[in-house]
Amino acid sequence: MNTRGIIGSVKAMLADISVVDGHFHEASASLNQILSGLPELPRRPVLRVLDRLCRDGDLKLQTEALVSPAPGESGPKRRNPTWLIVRDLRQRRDNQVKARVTCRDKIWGTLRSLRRAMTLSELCRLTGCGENVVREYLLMLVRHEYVAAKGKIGREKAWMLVNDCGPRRPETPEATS
Amino acid sequence: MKKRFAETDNVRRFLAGVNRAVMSPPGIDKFMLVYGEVGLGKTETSLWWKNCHSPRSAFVRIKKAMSVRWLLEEVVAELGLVPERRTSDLFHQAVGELMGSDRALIFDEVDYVADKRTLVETIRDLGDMTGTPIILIGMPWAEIKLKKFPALWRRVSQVVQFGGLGPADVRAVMDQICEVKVADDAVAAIAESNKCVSTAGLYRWAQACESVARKHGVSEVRAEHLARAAA
Repeated sequence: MNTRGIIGSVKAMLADISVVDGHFHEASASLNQILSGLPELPRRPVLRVLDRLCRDGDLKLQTEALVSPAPGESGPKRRNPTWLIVRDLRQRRDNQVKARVTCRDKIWGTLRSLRRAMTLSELCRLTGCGENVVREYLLMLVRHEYVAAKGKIGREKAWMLVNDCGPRRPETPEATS
Repeated sequence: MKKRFAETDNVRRFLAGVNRAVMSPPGIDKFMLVYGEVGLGKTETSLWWKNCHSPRSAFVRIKKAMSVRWLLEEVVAELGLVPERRTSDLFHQAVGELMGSDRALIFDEVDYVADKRTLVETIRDLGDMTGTPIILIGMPWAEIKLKKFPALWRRVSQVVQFGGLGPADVRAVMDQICEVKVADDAVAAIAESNKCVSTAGLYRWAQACESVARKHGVSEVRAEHLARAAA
């Protein structure tokens, strides 16, 4: 099964655990608990998908337990982490194939690649995106604690990436009013 | 100040080189080497090119401690895939994603690993098996270091050296991004100043010219205005 299929199955399993009567509630799930609900999936890709969800901020690592191999199995002790599901997995956009690269992708990629404090003007120059688009996304990243203000360069405020969750830009839910 | 990327002579040569590499027909190797001193805008130029001309390309910054597996994992992740566990799977993931596409691979700080044969040969393998353009960015000694690998060096069809910034570059940047006129004597003064060694420095000079124009209420900034502001 490809990775996209594994993500879909894992998300469905996590949604089963965390969604009650159509409403999301924070809930805990361990790797073994998830695997027991998905007997057809191999352990290692499921663990990698869960680690990725954790990096993206959908899950929060609670405990990291090590379990001895089952009778008949050999090898070192295996990880059995427990995660807290902190976001509604139904809202993740993994199933959408990215047809084009958006301004937000470019801004995130540029912040990751340069790894230094940058001003809004620099980001506009390097991404070719509008000032308002860059400002709005920067402030959103600040709100979600991915970017922080780091002094000034010249007269402009400088911003720096402080939490790198990987090449794919993080899920940053829009504020609803 | 206009928020646009200024095209210096270095940028124009980068664009010419990368266009030749990307457009070259099958059978012609698409490796490109960009090298030059620190602060001349090699990384920023390649990022700007990636963002504005080839947004689906992958930019990978090489690290000194990198192994083959780490490199492939970064390439695969930058291509938007979830990296597999084994090195062979990672390699096949990268090849499968790149083959038949026009996505370029940009490797920054490539001279860090120029002494690691397996890493350099892996980059060559990726280029050979996918036919994708590969842009290698490094310091001035990257050229000498990579020449030690004749099989790789034979595939480098474009070499672009980023040179120091001259008065023509200062003039081009001021014309493109500065919102006030900058007189020739001011351009010459900026070019001669020891603060004009990097492109970032030029952007700061453009900002300074605008501040000076606002302060003195002039439409054209001359060398005397800059000297008075510096005093």
